Amino acid sequence: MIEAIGLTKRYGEKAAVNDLSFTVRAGQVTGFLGPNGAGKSTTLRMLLGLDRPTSGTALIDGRPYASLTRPLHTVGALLDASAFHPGRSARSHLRAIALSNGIGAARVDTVLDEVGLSSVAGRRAGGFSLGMKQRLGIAAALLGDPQLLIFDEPVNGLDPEGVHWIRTLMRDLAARGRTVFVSSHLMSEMQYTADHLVIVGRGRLIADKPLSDLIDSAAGTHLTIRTLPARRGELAAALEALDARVETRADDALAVRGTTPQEAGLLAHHRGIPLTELSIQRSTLEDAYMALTDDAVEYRAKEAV
Amino acid sequence: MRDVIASEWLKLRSVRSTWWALGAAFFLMPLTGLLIGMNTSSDQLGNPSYDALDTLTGTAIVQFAFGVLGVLSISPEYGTGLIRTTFAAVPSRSRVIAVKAGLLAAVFAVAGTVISLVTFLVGQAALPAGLGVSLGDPGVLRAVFGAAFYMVFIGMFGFALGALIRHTQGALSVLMAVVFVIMGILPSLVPQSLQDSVAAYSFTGLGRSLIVVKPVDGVTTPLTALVLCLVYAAVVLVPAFILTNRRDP
Repeated sequence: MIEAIGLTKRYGEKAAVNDLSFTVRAGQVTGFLGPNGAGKSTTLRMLLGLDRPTSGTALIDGRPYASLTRPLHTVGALLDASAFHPGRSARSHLRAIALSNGIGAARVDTVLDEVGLSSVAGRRAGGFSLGMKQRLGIAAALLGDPQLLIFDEPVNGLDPEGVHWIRTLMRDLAARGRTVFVSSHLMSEMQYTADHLVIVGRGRLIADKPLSDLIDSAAGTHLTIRTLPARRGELAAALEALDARVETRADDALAVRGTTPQEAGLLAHHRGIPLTELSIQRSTLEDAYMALTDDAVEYRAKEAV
Repeated sequence: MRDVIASEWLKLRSVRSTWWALGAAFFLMPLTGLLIGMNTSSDQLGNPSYDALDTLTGTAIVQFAFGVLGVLSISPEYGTGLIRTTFAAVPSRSRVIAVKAGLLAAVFAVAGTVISLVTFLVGQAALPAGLGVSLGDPGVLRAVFGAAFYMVFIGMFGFALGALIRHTQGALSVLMAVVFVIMGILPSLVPQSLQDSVAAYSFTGLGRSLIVVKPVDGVTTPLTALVLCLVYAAVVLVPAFILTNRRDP
């Protein structure tokens, strides 16, 4: 379990992270979402005991990171895919990290195999493609077979195959009961991988909810209902009588909020109104995100500058 | 602690720059000793102030190999972001930096001693007959170790600069500026009366003091030189330790 309690990081006057509190639980992928510059990386560095918070605390299983002995057995992190000496081979890079936590050479080879870098393990990492670098960074995070995994923007700049590989890896880790905390500024990406989301903007917490709740609560989710043009007015009135909010769209379909497909379908049936379409338009995470940040007026106003 | 030593030792061994820097020193210093020996005239035979340890003055050249290796043993970790992985794996930064420093000093000491000894032997063999001295002669062993100590000193000075500046090009520039410009040119900028003592206390002056057997003008005693080297090293190493713990990597 990862806990942030009132985490704040100021650089001079500017607060990169402002009174941020959240908990990341085991057995699921928690997305850490926010635009670039929202303080995600700073937060992750504070969780790992690298950046010192101006105030607040970060705890790993209830303890400060610095108090962990051989921390790679508890937490594995990928912060920056290019965090290696370009002249060192992939294997030596991983072995040096492994040695510092008493992890043997056999485990290094296992991890190299897991990320698919065995065949290039002896090559200097400076010549790796972005995808290979990302795999090397993930291999380093997996070395201690940790319960907690932290990935900072792991899919940035990857080709579709690499993106798919990382998604699958994160889902697998969570399925095996691991805690995965992954940051991204890509909402569509999080929609595919995360179970739970911690959303930040300008260093502040905007939401901390399951993905499904976030999407359902977003105003964008609605029903699209079509009927014969002659019956449209009657149907709209009947739906409004049920307290649903009805809009007639330009394509003559009704966009209906505040009711369920079942309710609307039965209503039409009882009134003998034929329906030609009854579908749910789920809002995307992006819609939910926009709706959330709309509320944070100050945030949006400043963002526009 | 043992884990961290094993890890840092592998890091040091597994990059080519380590071998290039040490290889360059192993090649250049005995070569200078050889050339100085060969070019020494047998006219010096009667000169009471002639110092056969001049063959070790190649330290002034190979000091850069050590200084650069010192910088390169830490600054690229900051440049690439690897330092964050290092500190995430070993949260005690004091331990990391102490191990890095200790290991590097040990490598410099071994390499410096071997290089000095080889250079001494090559240089003495190349000197005209009768001019050479042997390791058993007064002060000679001290001078050989003095040259090795000077290489350790410059190497650790470079390491501290790398840890303080956290940027390879920046640290290398400062190293060159300190050794060449400040320590080389400063003596000519102070009043005449102070020039000799300032020159004696410059890095090159101290390096010279550590290897002379027959004291000449403009050098301090080997003991003073040793103490001053330790002071100079402390001036950069202590802040490097403190700031490594204090700054966000």
